[in-house]
Amino acid sequence: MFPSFFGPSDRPLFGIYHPPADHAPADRAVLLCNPFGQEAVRGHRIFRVLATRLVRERIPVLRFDYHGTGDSPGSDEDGDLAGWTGDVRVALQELVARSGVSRVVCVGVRLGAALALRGAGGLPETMRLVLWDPVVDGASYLEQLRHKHVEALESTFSVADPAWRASLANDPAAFTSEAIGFALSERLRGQMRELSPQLLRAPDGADIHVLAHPSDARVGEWIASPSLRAARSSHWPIDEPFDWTASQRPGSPIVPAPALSRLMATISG
Amino acid sequence: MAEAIERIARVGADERLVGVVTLPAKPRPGAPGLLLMNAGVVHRIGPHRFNVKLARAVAEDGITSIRIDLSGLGDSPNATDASHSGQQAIRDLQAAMDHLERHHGIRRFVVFGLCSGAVNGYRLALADERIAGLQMFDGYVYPTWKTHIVRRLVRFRALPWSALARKLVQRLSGQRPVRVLELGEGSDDTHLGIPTRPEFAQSMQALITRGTSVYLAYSGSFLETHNYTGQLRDAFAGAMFLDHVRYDFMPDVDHTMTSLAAQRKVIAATRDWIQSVAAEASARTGTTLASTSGAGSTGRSIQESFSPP
Repeated sequence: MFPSFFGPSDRPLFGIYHPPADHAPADRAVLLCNPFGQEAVRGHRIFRVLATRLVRERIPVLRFDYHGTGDSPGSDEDGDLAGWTGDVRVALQELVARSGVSRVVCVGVRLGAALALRGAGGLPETMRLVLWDPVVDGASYLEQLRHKHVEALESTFSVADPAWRASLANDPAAFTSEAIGFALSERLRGQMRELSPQLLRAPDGADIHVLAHPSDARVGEWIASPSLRAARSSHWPIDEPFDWTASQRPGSPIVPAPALSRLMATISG
Repeated sequence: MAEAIERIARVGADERLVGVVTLPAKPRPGAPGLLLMNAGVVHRIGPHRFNVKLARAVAEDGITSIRIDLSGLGDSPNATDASHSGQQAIRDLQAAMDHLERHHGIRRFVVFGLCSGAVNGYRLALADERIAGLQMFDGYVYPTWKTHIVRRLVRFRALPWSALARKLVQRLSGQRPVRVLELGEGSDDTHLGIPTRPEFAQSMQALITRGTSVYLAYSGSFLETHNYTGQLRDAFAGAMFLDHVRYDFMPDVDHTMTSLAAQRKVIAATRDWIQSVAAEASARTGTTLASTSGAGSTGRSIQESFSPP
């Protein structure tokens, strides 16, 4: 496991490269694309476990932090979908250079799914996109984050302030500039609002595997939409819903086994 | 303004532990380095990226910091031997101090710990005299009789009137037993490794006597056990250490600093405290501005560093 900063000197990224076991020759490499904010904190352990299992299968892995997230430079306020999409491309090139493998499976989780699709979808090195619980509708995602933020406040304080719920219900602008500990700039919110099932298009011939809970109506709408028509897509239902914004507590299940198994099968198959 | 630099740190004899060092553009001569670690199972960036935000904020004050994943957490593997996790955490943090000393010439440290990190920081401070300052955020709690009254009062006020009426009817009809308050209940959990009040007071006194600065901060997330300003003074009435520790109860801040306002408040308070520790260190050693902390002397490649904006 090799942590490093990589990429252009004016926008370096923090990443951890996992070489394959025994440095064996590999037929594919895997790029892991983080979700946003608290969901990325929640996803860290999952990605580490996934990477560990993949290298045992002799598949090299790179996981990384977008600009303004994790250990990468930049602040929360620098969040920018266009910039993060570029970060995916930089990371993919880094992975190809480090592993010597030119066929890459991009795994994107939540907002990272949209970034992986946009950033890596059309690149010749991308052999497959595996999108887990993808965020395909930015407006509803932002609304979900508002609710999750208030839920987080209510659960962390011993006594909830009723004004939080009232603001949430009556003021559409309340709890929009931050979400569960992370800033949401006006620019980022604007970019997220433009994300929709109609506009999140897959490139011609892309090999796309979507892992999502069957009740996720937005994902269902996206899969049925013309946006995926040009792609070869498969939908894998994950029956166990996963709360991406929940706090991690010692002893609680932090890596959902069914999803991990499906990810392994989808990446390796 | 010149920017701080961050570098990858592989910590420990076998470089097993993963960390990131933040080097200020203008190191404050003689200032202690800041140690940051996991809170619970969250990796080294801390809850809501708090450790990163704090590291970069204190870098503006000339403070060098390291945030590491302790053994078995974040990106660091489990320890190779089967030692107690508390003992291992002390060894890991000592390895982080060794790293800062070897690469950056820093010999004194302050440690910030949240929740389980506060416990680790406490044990480290007692075990290692290089610790010049200990900040425990939501560390050990010692309720008083007033804590229980405040708790019930706050809960009572928060109840909707319908629930209040129902509870009253239940009480009057004998359906709900009235619980007798026991003074000091739940405070001395020795079986969990939590220090008793005398032990905690003794430890605080030992640290103060040794010249270690102590900052005990409590959030508003623990109504059951710490819920009013002045609880520490009540819990340890008459103890000598009370006049020498910094103490804050922050009812508007939650345990993991979920709101950005909470993060800003804790960062500002921590910066202020570290500045005071640094000033004390300077006064004690007579450090002059001409000296340097040795920042930037690792010789690591550019691929392992960056300048956060």
